[in-house]
Amino acid sequence: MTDRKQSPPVLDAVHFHYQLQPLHQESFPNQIPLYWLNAGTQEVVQVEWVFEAGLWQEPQTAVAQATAALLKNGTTRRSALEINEAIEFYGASLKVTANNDYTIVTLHTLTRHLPALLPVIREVLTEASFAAGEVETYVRNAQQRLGISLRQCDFVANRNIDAYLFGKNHPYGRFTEVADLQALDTATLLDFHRKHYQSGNCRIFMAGKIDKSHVAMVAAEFGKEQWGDTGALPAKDHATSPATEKHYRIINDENGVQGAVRVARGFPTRQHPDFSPMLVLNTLFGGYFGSRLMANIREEKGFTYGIYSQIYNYKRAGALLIATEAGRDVCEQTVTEVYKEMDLLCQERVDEEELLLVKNYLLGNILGDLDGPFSLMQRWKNIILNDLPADHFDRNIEIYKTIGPDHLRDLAQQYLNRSGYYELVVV
Amino acid sequence: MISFDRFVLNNGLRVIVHQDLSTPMVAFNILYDVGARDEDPGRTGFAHLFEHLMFGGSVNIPEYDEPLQMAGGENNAYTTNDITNYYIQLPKENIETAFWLESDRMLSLAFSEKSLDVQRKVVSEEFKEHYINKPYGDVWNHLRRLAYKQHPYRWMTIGKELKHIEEAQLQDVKDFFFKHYRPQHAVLCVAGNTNLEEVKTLAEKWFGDITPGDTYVRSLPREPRQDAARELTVEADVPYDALYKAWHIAGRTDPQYYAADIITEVLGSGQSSRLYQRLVKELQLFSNISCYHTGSVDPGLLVIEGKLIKGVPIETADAAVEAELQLMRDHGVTEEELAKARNKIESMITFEDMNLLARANNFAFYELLGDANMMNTELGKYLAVTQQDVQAAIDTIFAPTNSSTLKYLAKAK
Repeated sequence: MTDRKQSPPVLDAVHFHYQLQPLHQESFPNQIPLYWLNAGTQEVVQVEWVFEAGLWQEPQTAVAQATAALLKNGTTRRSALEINEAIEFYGASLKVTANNDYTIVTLHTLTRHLPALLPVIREVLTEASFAAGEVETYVRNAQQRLGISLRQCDFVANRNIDAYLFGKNHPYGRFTEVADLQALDTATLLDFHRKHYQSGNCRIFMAGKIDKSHVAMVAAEFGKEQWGDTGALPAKDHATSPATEKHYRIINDENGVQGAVRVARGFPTRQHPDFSPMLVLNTLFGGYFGSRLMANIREEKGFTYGIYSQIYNYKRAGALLIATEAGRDVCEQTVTEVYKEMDLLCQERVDEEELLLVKNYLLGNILGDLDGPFSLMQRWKNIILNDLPADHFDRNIEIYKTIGPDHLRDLAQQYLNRSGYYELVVV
Repeated sequence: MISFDRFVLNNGLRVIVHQDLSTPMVAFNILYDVGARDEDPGRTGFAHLFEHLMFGGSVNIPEYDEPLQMAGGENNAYTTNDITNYYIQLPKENIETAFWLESDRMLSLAFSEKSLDVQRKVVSEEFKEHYINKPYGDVWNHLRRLAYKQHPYRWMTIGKELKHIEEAQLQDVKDFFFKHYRPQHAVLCVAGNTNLEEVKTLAEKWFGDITPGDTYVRSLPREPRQDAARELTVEADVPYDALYKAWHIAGRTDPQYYAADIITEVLGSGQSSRLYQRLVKELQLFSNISCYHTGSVDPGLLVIEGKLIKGVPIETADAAVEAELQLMRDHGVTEEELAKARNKIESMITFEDMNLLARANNFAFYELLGDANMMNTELGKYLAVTQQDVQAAIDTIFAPTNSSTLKYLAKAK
């Protein structure tokens, strides 16, 4: 008879061995670095061109994102339709996204179509035209999207909390208004594109079922001569200026049935020695389904569908954010319970059983992540773009395996104490 | 060719084993043949609420999530109008933990009042977050009711109204469990770093003694053929007018399904698609537009939806969509468009197959549809679709009497 009350024996994930598959690096004649790895069993490839062309670098609000959105909407030789057709015909996708620190151009395709697609990407990267008609259409549609987003409490809350954390004039904190969209024009986008989308500002990451022949294709298309503007990049520096007021309540929709709750504070970047250990504490506190916040606020009280805490991973400034959408009448109680959970971690040491569970969960997830080419590359990209040492992964694994309750309590007392937290509810 | 083995336990549980030794993990996917279409019209949203209750402890195990997380695993679940699917990914060394947890909740739940009480609230918040407190959030409530008059697809998976969820009783939970959560109504797929012998032994050990109980035979009302175009106008507190149009298409295993999928690719996939190019870029009537289908097991819907540019009359936008459809009726799709759609579908299937959990999920779903080997034959079916097949599908689907149009207008302030 099977004893169903007794769990089968479990091997703790803390005892497994974790190895990040090594990365190949090539340096092309024009100095562009290519990082690549061959993994996976499906005949697919992902190529990413990473430019330091994020919100950090933009000369005025909304320029980086508009440039990204319009990059493939026509070149000096071909219309938006022709370019999109040239990519989509092969069942490939080309996504261009601008985040706080970078613009990333990502191609996903079956490996066999790579030779046909690379010249199109080259044309897009170097000859994008940002025609007036395209800019006009983009501006109008983006205004409408913004109009819809502004009706949603979560969107309004996210904008505001970042503005409090980093300052309204900081690239991580400022947000797009209708007037910013209306101020966009061809000349501004062309200028941003010319200065930032250039070989001297580009790194390429390629992963999938690939070999040296694919490396040679990328080298031939992107690695020979310099392309784009060769001038030095304008240096940018921005100091954060966090808001002095810490406590906010906003009514965005009189009839809203939920409120977006945000509790947040500034936090160091990946370079800081506390960053990795804090990932463990964050997981325990609010980073997974079984976290303290979920157990209390969802599974015990039913105030919300989900509540999570997260640590921002931007390059030059960071934050720790607790976020949820809760029933309108229980938002204030939700805030109170978040603080209670923080207090508990400051006062009481985590018990060994719970800590082992969190470590096993965290490490089990990493193990699951280590067999796909794209997730492997994501880890390497993080290391490279944040200028972290090559053994960063191994060091982190060691931290996850060995961190103890005293260290977590010290971290909690430093980063999860109530002082210094911004608090916002948007209904 | 993605290989697999298949066996059935004496109690009717169907098991698929897919070996992939390149991963250190195992994906464990168990699919129950029950969805929102099996609900009582007076108690909608129950299949999904029930999915939440599956995490509230089982007869021998007070906590589901904790032992799994301790084993380095992660899990989740989802409910659709057709099925309820539970999945786990964990290190291969701890595979038995998944068998232990999943078999115990198939044996019986703990049926706790406290869990029901909390999950009623959680699901109510989920309902509010996605369907009430969001502009255009109730569109599918209207659209389903407009397009379906008989079939239970006329309500959303989350339910028709909050009240149904708030009123759920523990006895309903028990009845639902013993009606639908029996081994003969489930398909299990174990994929990854394992083998047939291991899965056979563990399946027999943990699931073998679960009794089948009564078999539920699905008998749903068929949706009668629509014989006149339908239209509904709704006003809501949204910033821009929106247009939604739906047409009935064939079910998941019908040959027309593949042609319908190709039509949505031609009309709405990517910025080079017909609708985007014509209606967003050239005519500038919409700020965005998309075309997709519901992909349901029973006959589903092909949908075109878009938000209008401020100031464009809804009739103008609607007429422009109809003109595109007329063009398609008159001239069909070109050989080049067909080739492009095939390339896209091949690419999508290949990328999806990269993911171990996706493979496990698809194997289980295809087995439910009748044959796990659809995993290997689906692409061929798409590649075999001809221009004539597409034309025939266009004529049937876009017949004027087959359409439901929802005009979702911004309330004047």
